[in-house]
Amino acid sequence: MELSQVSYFITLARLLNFTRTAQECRISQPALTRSIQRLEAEIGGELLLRERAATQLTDLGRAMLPLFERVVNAAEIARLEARRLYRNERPALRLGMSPWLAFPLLAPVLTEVVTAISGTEFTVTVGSEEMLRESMLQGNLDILVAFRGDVFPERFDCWKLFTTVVTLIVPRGHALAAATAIEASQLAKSRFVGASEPNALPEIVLALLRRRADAGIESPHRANNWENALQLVQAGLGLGVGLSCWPVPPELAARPLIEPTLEHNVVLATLAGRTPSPAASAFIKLARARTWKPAFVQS
Amino acid sequence: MRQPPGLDAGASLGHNRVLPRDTRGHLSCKPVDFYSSAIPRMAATRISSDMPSETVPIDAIAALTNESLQEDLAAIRSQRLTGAAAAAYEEVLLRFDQGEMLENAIKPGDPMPPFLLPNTAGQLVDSATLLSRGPLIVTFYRGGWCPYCMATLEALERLRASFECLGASLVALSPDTGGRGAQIRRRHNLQFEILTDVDSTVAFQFGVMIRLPARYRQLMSSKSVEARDWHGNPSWFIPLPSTFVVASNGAIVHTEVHVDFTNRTEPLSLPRVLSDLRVNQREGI
Repeated sequence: MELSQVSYFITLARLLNFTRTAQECRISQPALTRSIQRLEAEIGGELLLRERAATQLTDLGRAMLPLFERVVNAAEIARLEARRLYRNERPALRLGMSPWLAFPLLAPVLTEVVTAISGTEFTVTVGSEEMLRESMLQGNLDILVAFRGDVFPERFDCWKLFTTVVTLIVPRGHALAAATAIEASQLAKSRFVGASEPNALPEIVLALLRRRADAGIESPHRANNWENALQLVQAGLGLGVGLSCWPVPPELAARPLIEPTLEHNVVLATLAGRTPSPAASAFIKLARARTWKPAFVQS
Repeated sequence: MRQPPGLDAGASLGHNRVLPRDTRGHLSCKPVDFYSSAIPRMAATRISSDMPSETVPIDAIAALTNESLQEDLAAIRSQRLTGAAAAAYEEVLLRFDQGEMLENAIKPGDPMPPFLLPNTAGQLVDSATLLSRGPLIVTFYRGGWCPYCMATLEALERLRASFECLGASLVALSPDTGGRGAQIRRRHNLQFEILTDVDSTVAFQFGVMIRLPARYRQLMSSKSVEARDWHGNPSWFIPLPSTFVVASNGAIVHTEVHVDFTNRTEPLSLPRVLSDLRVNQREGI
């Protein structure tokens, strides 16, 4: 299909009037009609009901409209980006990240964006996912990397990057470090490092473990991000709840939790319909194109 | 480090066809190993444009790779084009008119729409950088799920050395995300760049994007190939298999668009196109 055909259809879907659409698109009405007919032939169905009184979208037309809008918008961004029309501006990349997602994971993508898009100014904000979503809706963030793909409202575009599993992090000398995987039932009467925020990843996992492993799981000490949590485990204040994608220092061992195995999707989210900066657009493309390693391999 | 995939490494080019070392001395030009060098921050080796084009033995290369793609495609057709797949294929042929699709596509003389896309090494590849090295072959394939496309990419790989000797680079684009480009590059031993055309935006600008018709979408679904996983969107917008040759000034010089995805032009025509391009440029046409 041609960019022009699709653009005409989007205008027509907004105006629902052939005459006014032809005027706005600066083409003749017969040319507009032919263009729409060719698009309909390609899509394999009518996009519009041409009633005498008014033009209306068919169900197919309504279904295709957001798909067309997305691809036209993406093509426009690509065109601007490749031609570097906003080269003189400093392309901003404002990234929001869950405090329980290890930042080093994103470093290769960030490095490539900063190298390829000259003048990129990068800012990272770490905060609760709720706060980050709110911040994004207010226009203060371009991209969000988080866990909870399921809770994003419709206004967000959301892509799953990879799936990572919950691990338990124990000091090397600990008895559990000898196992290749740890079952919930082995954790009765263990002390854990919790999270200062009740909805954070470690607290969700601990609540589940408390239900599984009879009793005695306590978490008197709490961290507010993944690095803090690792430091508290290293200091001997409790066992850690982590993810297989976290880089773990050599003094600690990360073992997958089994019975139950818990998985988390790591998602990339942006605000739908917003034109991203060239740097943000490059980040999104690189993140979606690449192979992610869902597990950190300890040397 | 990977050995530069020059003609001396001919034995490793698909189908184990050994290219002779002594086919006219000029073939000893050092081809570019695109992958082991950082793109787009490398200087390419190029043949100077004043080298007589007659010295590039296209016909010798042609003889060596003779008709192999057609045989491969025929084998896949006889094996795959049955039942639901045959019905889905018929629907594609009925839905899309070859002439109209060619009309939709950008044409010789048109400027190539610029692009900036990720490669399989996680780098962004800029079309302007590619063109600064010489002519460019841009080929669109439907996806790693399409066996006809895989056979075509393998055929292009067999000709890669001849493209490089003519100073040209080759990139293959599809909307496959999530490391799928890297997978097929490994699996099919392809040395040229595979770029992820995220959301098919570049195919759209080249005028070769279609929506896969309903029967085909059902067929894909029955094989657990879902657009939401493969492309990161549910649209099933994919490119028609197509190939464009672009002169280093960014002008399209050659276009091939295939509605019938089971039939492809033998890529042997491409070295000829590149060679003609060199002659024309030298003569200032």
